[in-house]
Amino acid sequence: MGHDQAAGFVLDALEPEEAQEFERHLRLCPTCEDELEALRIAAAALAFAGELPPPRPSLRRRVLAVDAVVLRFRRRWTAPLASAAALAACAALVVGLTDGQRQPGVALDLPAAPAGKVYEIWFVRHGHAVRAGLARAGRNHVGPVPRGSAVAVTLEPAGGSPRPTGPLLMKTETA
Amino acid sequence: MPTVSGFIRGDTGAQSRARNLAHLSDEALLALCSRGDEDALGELYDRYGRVAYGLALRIVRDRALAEDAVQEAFLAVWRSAGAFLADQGKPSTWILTLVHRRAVDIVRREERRRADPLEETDQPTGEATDEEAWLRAQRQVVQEALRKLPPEQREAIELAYYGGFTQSELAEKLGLPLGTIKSRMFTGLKRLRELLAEAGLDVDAP
Repeated sequence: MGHDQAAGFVLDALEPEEAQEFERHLRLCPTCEDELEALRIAAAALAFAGELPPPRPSLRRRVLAVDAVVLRFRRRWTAPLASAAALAACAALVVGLTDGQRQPGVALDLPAAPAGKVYEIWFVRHGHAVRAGLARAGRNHVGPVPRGSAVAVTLEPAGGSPRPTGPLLMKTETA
Repeated sequence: MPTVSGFIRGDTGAQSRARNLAHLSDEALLALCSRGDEDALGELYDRYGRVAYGLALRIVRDRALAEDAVQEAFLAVWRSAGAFLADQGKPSTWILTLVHRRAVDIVRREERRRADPLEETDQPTGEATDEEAWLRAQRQVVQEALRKLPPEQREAIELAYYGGFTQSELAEKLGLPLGTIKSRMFTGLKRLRELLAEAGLDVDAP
């Protein structure tokens, strides 16, 4: 076990336990270590072989928000919705620190809601949803998010609802 | 109650204009990153962000997920820059390795893996920027090298690297012994390295 795993390792093609084992091997095997850098360069060069469309300019801002805590959206849809795909595509999440505290906020880019509907935002903790307000189309800032809460977005009838009734469009991990 | 409106850096552009760091080496930029210099991270992103995003997009096939992969990879660059410098690898390789790993993790989690063959269309674009010219030249060299590999080696490498398949999954998918897959990947990747070296490929941004 060892040498023959080097290519799989640099291609990220090992199972997790194989990768761990190879990393242990690597510490004891200078030959593998030397060979690995050459294989890594070959693997990294593969990145250039396909189409390379430019990223959206907003990605640079996200990348540079390094002093942020990142909450990942779990993209789960509970109901089919015409704009669901569009929403997933434009929902950007940026979480920032305020006042030097680890107080995350969320930035949401939303498309226009379907006629007669609004997006409503909730802080969810232990399955209990607290109203956090209605969202507009475009950029919304939500926060600070209470510690231990997730942020959820539902689609509600115009004017909003006191409790979530519409389809859950997205939910973050817990802050 | 603190407000979070406008906390996104760059929205107002008011605070600090990025300095021009174009003359610095990748290593120097990493050293600055390790000391908390965000302009240096921005410069690294300007050098490798596009290839990073293109790679991630190719693997995860979803714009938002590709952005997640790139963001997480650059966050790892930011946090581990100092530790990496001590290891003496190439920063460009390291960055692309991090992006690849994040993208593969995402695609395995989301189970959205696909394995289309590599498209070889060279799309004519309007006016080519320096970056585009460089990327196009790089792409040509790598595609040329891939074409020179025996097809079965190329297939194993591409399915693993772009498709996110593990070598065990590939053995099963292709109905071959695991050892065969391993040796195809190993021999192919070594040969690829030689071909790229002969062609003078450098993954560092110009």
